[in-house]
Amino acid sequence: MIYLRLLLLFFFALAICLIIFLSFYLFIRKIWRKEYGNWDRMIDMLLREAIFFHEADTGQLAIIPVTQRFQANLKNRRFYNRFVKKIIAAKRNVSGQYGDNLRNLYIQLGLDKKALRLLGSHKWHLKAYAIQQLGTMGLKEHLPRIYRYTNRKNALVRVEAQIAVLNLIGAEGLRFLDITSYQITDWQQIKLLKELSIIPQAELTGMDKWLSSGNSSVIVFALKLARNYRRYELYANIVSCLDHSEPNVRKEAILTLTDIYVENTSEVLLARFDGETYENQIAIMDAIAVIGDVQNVSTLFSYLDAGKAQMKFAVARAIVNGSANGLECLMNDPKSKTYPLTDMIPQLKNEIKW
Amino acid sequence: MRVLVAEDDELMLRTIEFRLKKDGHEVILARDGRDALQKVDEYEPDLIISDVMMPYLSGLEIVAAVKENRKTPIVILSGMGHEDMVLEAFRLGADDYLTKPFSPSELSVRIKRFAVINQR
Repeated sequence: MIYLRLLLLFFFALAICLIIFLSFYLFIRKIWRKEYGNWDRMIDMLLREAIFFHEADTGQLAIIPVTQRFQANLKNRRFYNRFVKKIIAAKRNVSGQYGDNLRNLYIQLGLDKKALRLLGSHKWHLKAYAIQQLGTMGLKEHLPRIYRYTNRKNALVRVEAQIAVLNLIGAEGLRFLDITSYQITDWQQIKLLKELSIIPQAELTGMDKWLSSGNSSVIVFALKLARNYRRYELYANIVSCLDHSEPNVRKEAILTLTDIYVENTSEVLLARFDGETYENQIAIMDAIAVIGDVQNVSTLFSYLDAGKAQMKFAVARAIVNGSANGLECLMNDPKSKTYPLTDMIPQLKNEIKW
Repeated sequence: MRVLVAEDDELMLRTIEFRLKKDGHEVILARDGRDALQKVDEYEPDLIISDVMMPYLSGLEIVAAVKENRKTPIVILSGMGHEDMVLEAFRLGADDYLTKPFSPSELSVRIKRFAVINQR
C-alpha cells in the first residue's frame, strides 16, 4: 500500500513539474512571439521607407534614416538574420530605383562587409548565405570572388554561386558552364532556369559549345535552354546529341526535337527507335505524335506488337497523329479489333476532338 | 478606383498598398487566395492585383474563378516568368502579367491604363 502511495505521489509531482515547465515554455514563447512581431513591424517599416526613398538632388547618395534602436538591434544575431532574410526577399521583388534603394540600405548598414566576412568562413552554409546575399543585392564588385565558387566541391555553395553570377551579370554568367566539372543536378537546373526566366531578353551565347561538352549534365541543361529559348539554328547540334552515349542526354535531345523540328525530324527519330532504351522509345513515339509528318506510317504498325500497353498506346497515338489519315489507317488495321487497342482507340478519338 | 491586392508577403502587400494609395486608389488587402475571393464578392473591386503563389488558392485559380462571372480586370504579379506560366495566366483570362522583380512605378502606370478604360 505504501508503494502505491509513493508511486501516486511520484506521478503527481511529475505532473506538477510538467505543468510548470510547459507554462514557463509557453510564457517565454509568447514573449518571443511578441518580440518577433515588433521586430517584423520595425523591419517592414524601414524597408518600405527605403523602397520609396528618393536620392537627394545633390547627386550624392542620400542616407536613409535608420533609428539608433534599429542599429542596436542589428547586433542581435536573431534580429540580424530576420532583417537579412526580409531585405533579400524584398530585393527579389522590386526592381529599378526601388531595388537600388534597398541595396543602398544594405551597404549603409555595413551588411556587405559582414557578408564578406562570412564568405571567408570555413562553414559551407555561411559561405552559401553570404553568396546569396551578395548576389541578390547585385554587388557586382564582388563578382570575381563569387565566380570562383561556381565550380566548388560543395553543391550548395556551388549552386548559390551560379545563381549569384546570373543575378549579377545576367545570362552572360552562364559561362561557368564552360568550365564546370561537377554534375548539374535536376534541381540545380530548375533553379537556374527559373532565375533565367526573369532576366529580360536573355542573350545566350556559347550554347553550341555546351551541347558538345564533356559534362553530360551541361549538355542536358543546354538542350533545355535550346528548347526554352527556341534556338532553331542549333538544330544540327541537337540532332548530334541523339548519338550521345548516355540515354538521359539522348532523351533530352528527343524532348528538345519535339519543340525544335524540321520536315524530316520524325524520320530521324524513327531511324533511331530500335537502338533506343524503352524509356527513350516511348519519348520518340510521343515526339512523333506531336511532330507528325511521318512519310511511311506502315513502319509504325510493326511496333504495335510491343508487349507493354504503355508502348502500344504511344505507338497508336503516333500513328493517329503521324499523318493526315492516321486514324483511318489504324481503324482499318486488323489489330485495331483486338484488346487493348479496342479500349485505346476511343480515347485517342477523344484526344483528337479536343 | 477600388483595387484589391492579393499577396501573402506582408511587406509586398504594404508596399503595393502604399504606392496605390499615393495614386489615389482605394485599396483592399487580401493575404491568401480564399480571402481574395471573399473580398471580390464583398467589395466588387474595379481591378484585382494578385500574386500567383498564395495559400489556399493560387493567383491562377483566382483568375479562373473571377472570370467565370465577372469582367473585372486582373493583373498577375509573379516570381515565375516562364513562358508556360504567362500563357496559362492569359489563357485563363488575366489582363496583364508582371514578373517579379517589378517596379512599383511600372505597376502604377499599368493600373492607370485600366483606370482610363474603367472611366469610359
